[in-house]
Amino acid sequence: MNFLKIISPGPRTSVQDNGRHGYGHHGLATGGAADRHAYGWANKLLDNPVNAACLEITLGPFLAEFQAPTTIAICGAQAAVHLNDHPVPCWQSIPVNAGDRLALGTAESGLLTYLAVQGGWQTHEWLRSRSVVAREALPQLRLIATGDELAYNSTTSPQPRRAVPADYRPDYSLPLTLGLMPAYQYNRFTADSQLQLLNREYRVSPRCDRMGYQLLGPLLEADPAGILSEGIAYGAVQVPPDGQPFILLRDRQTIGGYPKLGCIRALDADQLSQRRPGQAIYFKLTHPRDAHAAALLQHRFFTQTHWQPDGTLRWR
Amino acid sequence: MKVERLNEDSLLITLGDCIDETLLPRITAIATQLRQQWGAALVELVPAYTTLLVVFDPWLADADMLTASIRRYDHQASTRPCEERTVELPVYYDSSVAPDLEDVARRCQMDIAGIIALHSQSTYRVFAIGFSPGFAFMGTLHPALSLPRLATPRAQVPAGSVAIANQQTAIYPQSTPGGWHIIGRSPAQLFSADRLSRLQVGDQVRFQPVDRATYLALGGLA
Repeated sequence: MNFLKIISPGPRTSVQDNGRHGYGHHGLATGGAADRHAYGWANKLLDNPVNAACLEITLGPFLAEFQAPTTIAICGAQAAVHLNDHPVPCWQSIPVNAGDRLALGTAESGLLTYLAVQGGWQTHEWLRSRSVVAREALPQLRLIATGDELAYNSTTSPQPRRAVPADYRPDYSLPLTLGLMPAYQYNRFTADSQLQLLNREYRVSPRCDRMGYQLLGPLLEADPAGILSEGIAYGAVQVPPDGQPFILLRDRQTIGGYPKLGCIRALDADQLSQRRPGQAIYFKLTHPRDAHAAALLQHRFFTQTHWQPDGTLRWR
Repeated sequence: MKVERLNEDSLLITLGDCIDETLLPRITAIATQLRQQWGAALVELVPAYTTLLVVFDPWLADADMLTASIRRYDHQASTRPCEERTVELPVYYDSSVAPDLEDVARRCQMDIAGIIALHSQSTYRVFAIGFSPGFAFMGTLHPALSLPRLATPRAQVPAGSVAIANQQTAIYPQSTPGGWHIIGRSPAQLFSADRLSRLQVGDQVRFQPVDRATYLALGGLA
């Protein structure tokens, strides 16, 4: 086993995979990579299992040293990346040697960068997942700190260079439209609130993290009768008494008692995780069947396509 | 009963709109039958008060089929007896570990012995697990003990703190922020990485008052 030595982790870096599922009734959040698109591509470039653990680096800067040769991939936020002071590209596989130093600058657009290593990071696994939900403070599942050493299996066999096609590299600086599936207490919101939500602009508030994103814009108002806490699905749009919608993401609590308008599409919620305070957000209505088809297609793409010798992807 | 699709892979089953102990065995029965029929196709089942969140694997199950089978279960569930578990938890009710005990007594116009008696003589039901790992929302608290939450939550509530707010009571499994009134401390471990949550939705819970020596002997921190 070999190690990546963390010299500077940046403001918030954690290990994430597909999340810890099946323990919500114990009060455990699922966690998992906030942006499955960038995470999926980082693993895809290396032919990793779809659930392989990546480092999720928020904003940067980040500096670390490899102690053995391997191949890595970096996908997500747009940032300057250097290997031993030489610029290297994102959204591509990159061979590294023992002693190589990887430096990520502060991201210029987007928030989250996924650093994948061939075979995945071999960090502490608990309940079939290596994902870290920092607020739960569970043993051996905490944020990355200076001096940490992350284990990986070294590979000396060279891997062909691969790159993500340009069409699949999102521009996180663009405004984002979230597909909303009305559910929960949607009908208890005033008609005016429903109209405002679907026709006006919202902006990402500084209160945004892996747990949820607050959006600032026209105030939303629900029938004041309280509701009992109930299970919260990914992408739920809850409205606390301040009237500003709050979108619940991977590290959300398992249950909550604020009125909710429904859920946004998982693919859109993933893209929201790459947006920064001040960026424009819009809502439109969507049907769960369409959202379901889109999510299945994404999963099918990552599991059913294969790299060809010429560096293109073909369906199986 | 309402079964509603929430998003790509989740349904919410709603059996009522106010706290009602009789709903919990029905929720448990639906969860049990779902597990029997759908097994690995189910990713999460999260019960709370009057609802059951069902998260499924979209490759192995279909929202419409799940909805149809859930509608059938409910009919059968109402006739099924349900196993119930009673859990006894020791509590040391003392101001040295319970910063709000005297204040609660004053606001409820009772002496401390009266607070302890009212809190420990009821049997509570676990209505939901959430907020943090293993945090069990229990009710129903005696109306004479009902107080709104603290205006300003504490930044850190010690693990094991036994607290009350409105009609509910709980034990903080870990040291977390919290806005409930702390009236005691339990040496019991409510959550661990090995055994997960000690309590489950539907459990009945009794609090057993213990003295300082017993509290310390059971591993309680002074």
